[in-house]
Amino acid sequence: MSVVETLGGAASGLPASPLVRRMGWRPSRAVLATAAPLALLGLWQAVSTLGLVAPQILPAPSRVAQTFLELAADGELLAAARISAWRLSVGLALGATLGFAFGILLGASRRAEEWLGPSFRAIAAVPALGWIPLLILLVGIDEMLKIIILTKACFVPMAIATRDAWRAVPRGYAELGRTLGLSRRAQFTRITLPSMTPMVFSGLRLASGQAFVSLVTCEMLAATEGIGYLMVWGRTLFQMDMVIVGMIVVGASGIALDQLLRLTERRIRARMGEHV
Amino acid sequence: MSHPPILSLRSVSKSFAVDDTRFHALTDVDLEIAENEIVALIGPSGCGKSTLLRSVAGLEQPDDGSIRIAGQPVTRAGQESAVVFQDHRLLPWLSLRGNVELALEPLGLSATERRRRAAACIDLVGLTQFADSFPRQLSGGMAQRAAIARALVVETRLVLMDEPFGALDSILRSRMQEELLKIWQRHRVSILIVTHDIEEALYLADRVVVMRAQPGHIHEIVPIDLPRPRRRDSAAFSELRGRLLRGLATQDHEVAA
Repeated sequence: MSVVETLGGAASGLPASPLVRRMGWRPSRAVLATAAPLALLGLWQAVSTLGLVAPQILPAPSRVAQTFLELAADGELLAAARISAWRLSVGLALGATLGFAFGILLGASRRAEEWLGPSFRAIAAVPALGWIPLLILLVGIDEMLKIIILTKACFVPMAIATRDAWRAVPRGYAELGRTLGLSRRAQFTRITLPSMTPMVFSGLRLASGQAFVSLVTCEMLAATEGIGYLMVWGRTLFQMDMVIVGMIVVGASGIALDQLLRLTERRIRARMGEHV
Repeated sequence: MSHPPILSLRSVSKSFAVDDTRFHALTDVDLEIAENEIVALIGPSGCGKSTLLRSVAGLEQPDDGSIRIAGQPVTRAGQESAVVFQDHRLLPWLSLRGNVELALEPLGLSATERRRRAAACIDLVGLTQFADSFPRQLSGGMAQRAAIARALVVETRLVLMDEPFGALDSILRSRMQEELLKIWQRHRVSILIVTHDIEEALYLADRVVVMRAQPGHIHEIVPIDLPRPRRRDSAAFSELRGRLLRGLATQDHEVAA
């Protein structure tokens, strides 16, 4: 008998069995997910209380909470969130639509893949933010810039997911469509498209994640409003509490968006007959 | 036979290029199937039985020869024939009813008529209480029966089956064969069925077409004159099984030699 086993047996007084382990307290997913942020919050509070870091650099959680309430109360936060959400929606809608169409083209046509595939991959390799310097000179720092950056950020994952989804449609389904005598249009809308839906939606979820990150960075680099700009403004004023409010809002809405899309994706997969 | 054949193949040939060599899947195949007849195709892999079926289904274009269904040359898939594949190929996002109704879509019927005909065929295969179930909720045998309903609902005069029970265990397979015959007796169609199971061919078919490979061709056509329902343990059944086995086995020697 090994040392570990001896110690384990002595400590619990029972032979360790899977049954006992299963009957033990098992924290829910939500509890598990909030444990780390709460620990971080505690650490943060401790550091502030003990005065380990200057409050100008790391303001106390209470200070940040107060700033949050102030910004929320005077509508500044909401206005910033609204403009950011609008940019995100437009970019996502445009990028997803164009990316879907382009993905279909790449998937369906070997020639398109040969002609455009490599260029597409090269463009995809340059991060959305790499385009900012050039785009600022071309279109300025107006809304157009953000829309283009976000569209590009969504376009790439969406096009890739759509192309892969097209190729993943089982060959047998295409044969079935033909033997049923469905028109080409019906084969697409009744068989190919539903079969692609789960993968395309995964692409959409990926795209929205990318768009979100690009949005905040873009607003920090070249904007006069929005959540990202709020954070830059806070830094300029050396109001780190404002910066941290921005970080928390961005983090919280990012995870909310992701959760919402995950949930939707699970529903879609279940509806499309996949085991989830 | 006084009636014209429902299916006629005249010197059909088909070859594929496989790594610089031509693989002759079918050479000079002649075959006729009469109204309400069940014909089974058996033979070793590579004998072209699946290619033959896929050509009749319009999924492959023969290089030479003609394929006519009810006198009309086959020019595209889904024309005057319905196919049951080895895997049921039910679309997972449609209910059983939805899958069966999808087959009716090209016919341009009213929604009520589609529903009525789908319900009748689902009833024919005994799945009425599962009409609203989704494919993942059906057992393998039920899913294959649903696929048969989908093939019958369009009321083509020819149904093509590509090893339709090949994925089922042997007990279920013989039950499905009995059911197929029952359905066939109520809903008269001609059936061309590809199988690797000699017993299945003997149990179901009016004629068994024995095919051989290299190049794929018809070796012999054996009429099965046993009355239905056939008993698998009868002497006549065993005798025919022996004959078909020998027909297939000789070839293995030839290939080995």
